[in-house]
Amino acid sequence: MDLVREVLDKRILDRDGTIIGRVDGVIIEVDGNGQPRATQLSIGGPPVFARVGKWAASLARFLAARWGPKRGGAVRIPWSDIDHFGRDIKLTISCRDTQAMAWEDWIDEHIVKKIPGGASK
Amino acid sequence: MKKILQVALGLLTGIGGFLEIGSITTAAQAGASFGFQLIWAIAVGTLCLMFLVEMSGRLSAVSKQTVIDAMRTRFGYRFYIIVLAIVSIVSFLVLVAELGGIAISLQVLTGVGFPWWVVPVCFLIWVMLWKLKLDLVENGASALGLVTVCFVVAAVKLHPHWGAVAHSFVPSLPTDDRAKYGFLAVSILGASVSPYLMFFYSSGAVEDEWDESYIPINRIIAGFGMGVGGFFSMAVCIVAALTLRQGGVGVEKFEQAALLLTGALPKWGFILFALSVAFGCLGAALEISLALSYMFAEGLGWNWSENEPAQRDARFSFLYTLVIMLAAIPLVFGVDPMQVTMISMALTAASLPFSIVPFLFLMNDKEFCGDHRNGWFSNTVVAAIIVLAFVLSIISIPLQVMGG
Repeated sequence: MDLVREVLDKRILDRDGTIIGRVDGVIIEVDGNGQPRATQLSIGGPPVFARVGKWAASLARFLAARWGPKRGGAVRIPWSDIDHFGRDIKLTISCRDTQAMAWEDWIDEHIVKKIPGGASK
Repeated sequence: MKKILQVALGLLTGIGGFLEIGSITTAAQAGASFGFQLIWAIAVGTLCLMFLVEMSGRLSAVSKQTVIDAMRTRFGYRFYIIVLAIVSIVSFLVLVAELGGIAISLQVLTGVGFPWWVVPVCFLIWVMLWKLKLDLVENGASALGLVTVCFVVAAVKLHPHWGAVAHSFVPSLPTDDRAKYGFLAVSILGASVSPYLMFFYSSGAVEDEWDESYIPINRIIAGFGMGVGGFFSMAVCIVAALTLRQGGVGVEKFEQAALLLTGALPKWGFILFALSVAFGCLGAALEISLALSYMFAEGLGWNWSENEPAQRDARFSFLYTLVIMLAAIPLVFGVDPMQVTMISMALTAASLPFSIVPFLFLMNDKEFCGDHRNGWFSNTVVAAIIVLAFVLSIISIPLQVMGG
């Protein structure tokens, strides 16, 4: 499998079709025989900001320490939770089984829910 | 039947949503300073926009994804962040200009200074986005925007020399004031070719679940809707040439531009002008606020839909809320909307290669467009116009800045 072309940057959907993020990184582990193996998908967190620049990573750390949900680092999705690869990557689990929606929930809880009229359209 | 309705609504958006602060200001300044001479620039800008809107609709109809989705998937995170940064900064400035356009039209209508109007205007726009579904947001504003047809009525009533108008489709250089001429040409191109419009349009196509059967409809909407819109811009230029230029009035201030229609339509001209700017800018401000949210949400993998209640896509809804609040700040402090307009239009033109060149690569990629890839003709037309806009902008923006 071509990790860069077929996995990296693709959209990740949970089992109900909710968009939970994009593949910002792929975690590769080397097993006992020295064979590299892709084990997890990584979403968001400090590694993403580091790709923009060191200053962005520092700024993100500074802000995250004072503001927002405390989820600590990037969200990791084990390879075994992947249902299939297509245009999007579909998971067998629900977004609620991961920390991927921590920011969505935090903004909803602390800001959007406090503004009237956001429950219906 | 459903598709006929969709064509009608698409045309409504194209025509009623075409004129906004950028196209009106640049076309009026062009007419007041150079008569019909810059009409070629409006034609070239509109042609480019027609092609780009058609392409972004086609990409979404074939690949079922938005332009931003495709950019992130194809070019990766770093590249997406660069495009996102450039396009968001420029679009944000355009949003400030549009909000300012609404506020200043309310100033000329009521006599109350524009900074006082900024907060109510921003609140209205935010409420529309917060409570209305996409179709209503888009079509409501565009229906109001149809009032801009008054420019066409005025242009016809003034009996321009149509031969001279036709002649101005061929570019020519003026004998003096070439720096200003170049800067206006760039601003006109920037006002016509708006990257945010592509991102907005393709997101709308995905929200409306377009498939390949929409390709012909998309072509009609892009070609005819944008084409007619371009004639509206030309009408502004013609009216300015025949009233402001001959009256020796410049368009440095909005109050001067507001006299544009009073020659042809003495009784209603003033009010119609203010309403045209207000409604035109309203549509554009709604589209830009949404486009900014779409650009972040799609590229970063957030949930997004303007058809869902705000709580269903909290980050998406929060982002446009924040953007509108930030855009209000400079205006509350009295920053001149006309100046923001001219700066943001020129910067848009200079930024075009960063968004359009990667887009052209997508349009030629089999993975995204399958058998509906671009042909050599559309590639050449768009690439040539983007190069023209970029070269003109790097020559004329410094000249304009140095010349004050």
